[in-house]
Amino acid sequence: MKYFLFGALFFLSMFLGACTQVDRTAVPADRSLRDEALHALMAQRIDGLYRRIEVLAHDQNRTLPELDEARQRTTNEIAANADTLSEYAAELTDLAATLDLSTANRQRFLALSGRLQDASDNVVLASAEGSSRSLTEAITGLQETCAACHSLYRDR
Amino acid sequence: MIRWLKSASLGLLLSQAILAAEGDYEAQSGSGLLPGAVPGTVRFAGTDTSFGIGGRLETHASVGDVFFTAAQSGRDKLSFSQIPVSPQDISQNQFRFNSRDSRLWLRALHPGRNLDVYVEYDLAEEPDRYTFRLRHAYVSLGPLLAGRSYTTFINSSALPDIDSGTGPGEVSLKRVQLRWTQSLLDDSLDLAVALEEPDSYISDPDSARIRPYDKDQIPHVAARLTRRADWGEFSVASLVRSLRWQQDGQRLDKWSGGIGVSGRLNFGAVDNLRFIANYGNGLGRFFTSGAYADASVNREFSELDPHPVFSAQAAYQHYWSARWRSTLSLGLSRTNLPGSANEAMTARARSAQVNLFWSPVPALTVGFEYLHGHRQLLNGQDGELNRLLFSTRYTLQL
Repeated sequence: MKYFLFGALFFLSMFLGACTQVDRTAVPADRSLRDEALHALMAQRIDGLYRRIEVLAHDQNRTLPELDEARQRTTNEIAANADTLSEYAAELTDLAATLDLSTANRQRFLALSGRLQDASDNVVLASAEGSSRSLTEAITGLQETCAACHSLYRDR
Repeated sequence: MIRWLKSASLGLLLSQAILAAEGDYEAQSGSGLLPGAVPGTVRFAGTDTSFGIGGRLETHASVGDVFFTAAQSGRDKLSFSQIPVSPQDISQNQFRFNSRDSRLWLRALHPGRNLDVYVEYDLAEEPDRYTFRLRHAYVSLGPLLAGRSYTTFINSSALPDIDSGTGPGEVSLKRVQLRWTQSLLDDSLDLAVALEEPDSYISDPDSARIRPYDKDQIPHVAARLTRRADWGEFSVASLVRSLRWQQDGQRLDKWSGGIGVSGRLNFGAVDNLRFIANYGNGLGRFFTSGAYADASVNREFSELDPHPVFSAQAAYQHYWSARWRSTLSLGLSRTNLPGSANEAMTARARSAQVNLFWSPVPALTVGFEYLHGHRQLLNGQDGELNRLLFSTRYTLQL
């Protein structure tokens, strides 16, 4: 009995811990980047999927071909998300006109929106290339772009 | 050393055979190595075939209970048939070292032809020496897999991340098989059907000993349907088999089978719950590390009684951070033995395993694991085993 009580407590603590982790809610197809939370949500989702690939290195039961299949499936999901993000990034140009920004700031905003599109495209390309190093670099680039833009314009 | 050389030779022969088949062996000589089709592989310039060689060095240090007469494997890994049920059989606080979970693998793949050849060994420990033991050896060509690997009855992604041995609900059995896997619904649904190597583990009425019989004439038929989505994986599987006992010109046959569910549910980005539950008749060999028989012969030696068996295993893996993770794995199983069965046969088993692993870099894992195992015989006699394990694992690949 004591073992099952211990087990139940352990399960509960780990489950509560999991609830505080990355939100894995898929992005609804009808939302656009005009929704201010969308950037963060999509980048977070790509980051979560990438972490899922990283932890495959700890899987000690599946064979290498089985792990490669799992890696490929998750990479395809990353590519699909990055592709959607790239499409939506194009909308940022229109969004700039609705923001209260100075001329210099507007130019910087447009430059960053272009950078987001490029970074998303890079993730798509790296996913297709199949190189883990390229994927790491591309996702890091995307994260940096998100951070740079959000620090300047998130509440405008 | 000779076996290592044999393995290396096998890898080289394999490589050369595939290169020769492509007709470009001469073309690649003297050329450089390039990254292969998947991580951990390389290919020669001018060819499309990628090669991989790798392995892992794993060392366990454990302190805990050991059955005095346990086989070598039961002293280091959880083996339910070797949990002592009598106080005089137990050796407490025994300190042991082993490297039996170290592995070596070789791989050749040709993505353009969907060809993948994979061979994996681990180590079996005998007194004063280790020998290579085959785990997986198969060729997959598109949807067809031929060779030895996990039985199709189980989804291998449901097996927990534990070091001290498989729990009573796990099915980690490997079989030589011919498997066809068909992807459906944009790869989100897989149907795998296989013919697998048959054998029957049967007990005599007056003995608790379980003996393997390989006189079967009909292969096991296993099928598994797997659904994959963002939430994880869920598999439903079934297995049908013909049990056969044959001795001194006498022969008994019986059809049996079972069903099971297994899978992995994702919680957050990387936390997951892995589960396995099975019920069947005559599938004892598949569970509890072989502590159960598939069937027993009645006292008149006129009928084969398949044993109903139920098993379940659940393991939750939590990542405390990118480098620290834990798994709690709980399992139980029970079999209903017929009246003719020997009273010293194992009837129930359960286990609890919990660990804390640290991976400062992806290739290295260091950690502690606590194991509690329990078994009960048909006559009600029971015993338990507790161990604390320290493990280090370093994975090497190209």
